Amino acid sequence: MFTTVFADRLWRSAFLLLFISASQLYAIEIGCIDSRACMLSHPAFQKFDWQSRRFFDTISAPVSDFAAEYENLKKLEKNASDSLRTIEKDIGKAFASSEKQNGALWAKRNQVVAELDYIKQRREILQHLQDVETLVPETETVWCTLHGVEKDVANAFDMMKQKYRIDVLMDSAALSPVAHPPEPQMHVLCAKTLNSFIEAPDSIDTDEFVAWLANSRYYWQRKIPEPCNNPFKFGVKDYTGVACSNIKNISGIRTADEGDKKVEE
Amino acid sequence: MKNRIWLLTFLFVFSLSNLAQAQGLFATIDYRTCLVLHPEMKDFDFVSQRFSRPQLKRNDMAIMTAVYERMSTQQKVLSPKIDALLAKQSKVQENLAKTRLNWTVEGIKLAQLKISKAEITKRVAEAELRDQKKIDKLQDEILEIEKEIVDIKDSIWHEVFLSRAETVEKLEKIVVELDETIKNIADQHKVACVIDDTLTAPETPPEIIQNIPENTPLWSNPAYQIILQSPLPEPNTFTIANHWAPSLMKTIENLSFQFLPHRKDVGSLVSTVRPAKLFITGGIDITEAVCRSLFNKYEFNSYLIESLIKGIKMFRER
Repeated sequence: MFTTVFADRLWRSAFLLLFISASQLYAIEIGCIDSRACMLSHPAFQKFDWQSRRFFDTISAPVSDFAAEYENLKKLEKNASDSLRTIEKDIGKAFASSEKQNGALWAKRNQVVAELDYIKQRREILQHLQDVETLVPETETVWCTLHGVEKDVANAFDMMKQKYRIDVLMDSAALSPVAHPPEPQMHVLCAKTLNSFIEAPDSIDTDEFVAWLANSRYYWQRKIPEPCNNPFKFGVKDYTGVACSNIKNISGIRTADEGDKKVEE
Repeated sequence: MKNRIWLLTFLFVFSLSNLAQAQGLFATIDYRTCLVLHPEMKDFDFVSQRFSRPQLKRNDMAIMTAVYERMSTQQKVLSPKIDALLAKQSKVQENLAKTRLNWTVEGIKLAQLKISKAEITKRVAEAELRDQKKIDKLQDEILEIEKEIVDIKDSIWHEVFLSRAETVEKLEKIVVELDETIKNIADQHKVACVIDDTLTAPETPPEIIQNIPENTPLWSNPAYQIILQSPLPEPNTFTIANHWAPSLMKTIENLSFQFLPHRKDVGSLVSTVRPAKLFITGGIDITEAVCRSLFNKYEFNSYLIESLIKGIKMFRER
């Protein structure tokens, strides 16, 4: 009796060990992305004005003509309200219809509601700008958009991680250089070659070799930046292209959502 | 039962071997050091920016003198041509700069007129479009001249150095060979990925070093030293230490706050003393292994290999 129970337990532990070790055999999938490139490919950044550091077509856009903008917002509001009424009627009709059609209508409705939200928030900002007599909205209005972009980008990464079964996703922007290396001192490089160090191995254990090595590293980093500036040398697959194309399809951010407002307060 | 035991033993051995082969995750490398010390790099000449020809008989003085004589004769003949090309190139560059400057001038002129901002933008865009073809043509011309100069230099140095195209080809081969070696060493060490962690090591620009106040580190601040050395307050007695205790505490607090904004500067200053490492524990560095593998492949003698490895260590720990 005891032997049978013991043998059974042994079986179970053997299978568990086999399972663990077999899972170890599969190489883990390591990917990398350039988060800066991904962020810039977001539709919101297509309308970023680098001069005023504000997003056009969002609540942070600089104003050129108050009267014209109020007029434009009025038109937009009228159109959006009309289409909202039509969509809500359609939703009522489609209530008994198939789920798919109903879903599409709700998505349209959400879009129109977001548009109305934008009109409302933009009006408030225009009012404030007129009060303080400036044309450029405050920086906080930009942070709302950036926060939204961050959220969208994080979602896109999560979806990509699940789709491609990536175990570790690294950011190449965190390890890549942000500036050119210092200019190499050519007199140090021209005075000696690697060959001269190889021919006299005792000269390797000197400060002269250290200086030569430091300068030649800078020289080659400037000369062939592509292989030198890539921080991942082996085993990492670059998913930047995939991530960027996913992010490009995200709809633009025009407003600050309620959550953002709370954070600011 | 007997079959079961055999199967169990097999599973146990198989599992243990798998566990033993399990991959480690990360390894680091100093890629630029490996590239610079690649044995083929010994033929690179920084003055001409080309590789010297490997079959060149450097030790034969007579041959080398003859080669250099031919080279200098050729250089004398072709140098006027190079000078003419350089003069032509600088003229084209001047023309290019003038065309670009025109856009700015035109923008300023338009801004002075009483026309709308949209109209100004439209006119500047039209001017840019008009000049773009001209600029493209000038840039092509510059590239053409550069190519001609390179060709002439190639023809002067062809006996001693590889041409520019051959140099590029050789460099590509070196990079491919280095990448393959990294892959092999990574496989040998069973690591899943290799990261170059030497690229972002901050290097303090001289102006930052100059701007760090002398008393930035808290421990070297004379006021802080006085506070540390002053007698401790004693309870229920009137001493100078007791009298000053609250204000001393306030001073310490103020000094700490003054110190905080300089942390970043101190951090980059520290990096010049102590090289930063991506992994404190858990990662291995394969720089030496990769270099050693390349040196062995090119049959360097053991003394030279050890000297080079020592040199790499000295450089990385400096």
